Amino acid sequence: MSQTQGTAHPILSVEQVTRRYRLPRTTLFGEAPVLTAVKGISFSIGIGETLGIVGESGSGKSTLARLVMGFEQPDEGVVRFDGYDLARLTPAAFRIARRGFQMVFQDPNGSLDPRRTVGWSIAEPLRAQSVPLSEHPARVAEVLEQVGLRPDYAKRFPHEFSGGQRQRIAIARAIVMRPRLLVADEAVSALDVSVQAQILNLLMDLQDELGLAIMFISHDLAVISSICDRMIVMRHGEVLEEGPVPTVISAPRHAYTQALLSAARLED
Amino acid sequence: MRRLPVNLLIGGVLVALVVAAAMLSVIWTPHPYAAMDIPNKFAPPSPAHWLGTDQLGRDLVSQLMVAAGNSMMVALLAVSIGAVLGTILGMVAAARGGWTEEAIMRLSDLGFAFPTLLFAIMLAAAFGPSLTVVVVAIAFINIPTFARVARAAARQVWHRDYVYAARAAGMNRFAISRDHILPNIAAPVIVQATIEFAVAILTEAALSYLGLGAQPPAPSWGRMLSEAQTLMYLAPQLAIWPGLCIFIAVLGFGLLGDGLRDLSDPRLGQRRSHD
Repeated sequence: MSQTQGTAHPILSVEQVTRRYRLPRTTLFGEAPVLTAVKGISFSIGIGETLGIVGESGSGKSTLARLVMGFEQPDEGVVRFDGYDLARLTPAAFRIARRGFQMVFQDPNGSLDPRRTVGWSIAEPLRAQSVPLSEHPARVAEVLEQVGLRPDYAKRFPHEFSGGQRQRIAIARAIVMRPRLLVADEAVSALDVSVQAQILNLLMDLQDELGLAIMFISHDLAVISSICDRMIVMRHGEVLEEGPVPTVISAPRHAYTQALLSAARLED
Repeated sequence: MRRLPVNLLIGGVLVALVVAAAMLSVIWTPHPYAAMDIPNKFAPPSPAHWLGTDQLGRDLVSQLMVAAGNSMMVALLAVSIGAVLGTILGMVAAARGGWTEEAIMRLSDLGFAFPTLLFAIMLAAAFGPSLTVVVVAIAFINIPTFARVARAAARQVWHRDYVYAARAAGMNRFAISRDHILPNIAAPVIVQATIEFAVAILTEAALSYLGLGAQPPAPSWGRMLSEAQTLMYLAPQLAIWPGLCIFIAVLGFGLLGDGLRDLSDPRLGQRRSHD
């Protein structure tokens, strides 16, 4: 586990971010109801730090991931990566900024295009960032080895691999541009427990190797507590509790956190 | 290995038959299709004229074969043009969203409101009847159909995680449409094209029957039907054979399209067989 603590030079800082969705109208002339998925949330992640975000489904944690990744824009507030306000970057500058933060998705079946070879998918960020074509095969082989797969797997298609292997391939694609922040949205939730541990170990190894900061989103408190430095507890789009993992686990201040904890202990 | 659906098999055989006849007609027909032989008119089937001759003594088999070629060519051109333009519009709509999508889809609704026949009559009135008019009319009417199919499929693909991954990589919308959207919406578009092919054959026959399409002496199943109409009691076979050809071609492409759809979405096929 990385010991880098504190937020003196955050790689990511989320400041007072709010995101609302307009829902389908329920009556013909009435106003469309609005769902506020994220309500004025602030947090930051230091270089090489792992921040866990825990919450039940509908708590806004996946919306947070989409906002950080720039798939959506916040209605209020600012998302800063390495000090730059992402919303104010020009499209060209934003594309270059994307080298710094990548994402690992929940479902390894859906995150790889079934019609493309593994090597093609892993090289996609290299193409998007105009890395010279001659470097692609070596870079693909290198990251495949880093995630514990054979370089010749590059020629195969996703359906030839197990869920755990596919998640390794997705991680290989995420690290091929050597990002400084990895957003992992329920990255191990779709996997068997034994495979979960392998993927978590891989993430921690990569973190040490590459100095990655990780924003680790999960509904599973056990997973969060095993790999994160700090954690945030979310509910209904708000932060209920924030602090170092041992502190939150041993002395939860909020009743909801206590309920989550006792539920997690019951499962064990 | 999944068993091939029966409709795919039957459709494939019928289509192969029609396409083979059409292709053969380019290099060989039993007789020149337009060669008249008045003394030998209304000849019954014989070794020289397999299906006999028409009111001008022209060989029926030769005419049907060349007509098959014309029909295929019209359908191929019209559906290809409609499919390419429509798919591009649908993909643009799905990629850009917002008012661009609204504009494209509302325009295509407008296109749907236009009956093909009416549109073809308009074109024929302006430019004179010809197979080109038929091609343009069918192509134009096909654009909204393909725009809708492509947009619906593309919208789904845009929400797949691999598209989000491509966006995270820094790919622009054009590159994503080319690399991920198009290959993943190809199946429904091809299925739709096959079905529209059947409709196009029928429309061509209808327009030629009305005299808006193939002009004499170019043979067309539809025109042969309309010419045979006045001779129905004298020589019913002259109407029956082109009618049968239209039937076989339309049924063949219809079944082929159906079969392809079952193949690309097995769940749909199963649900249907339980009905």
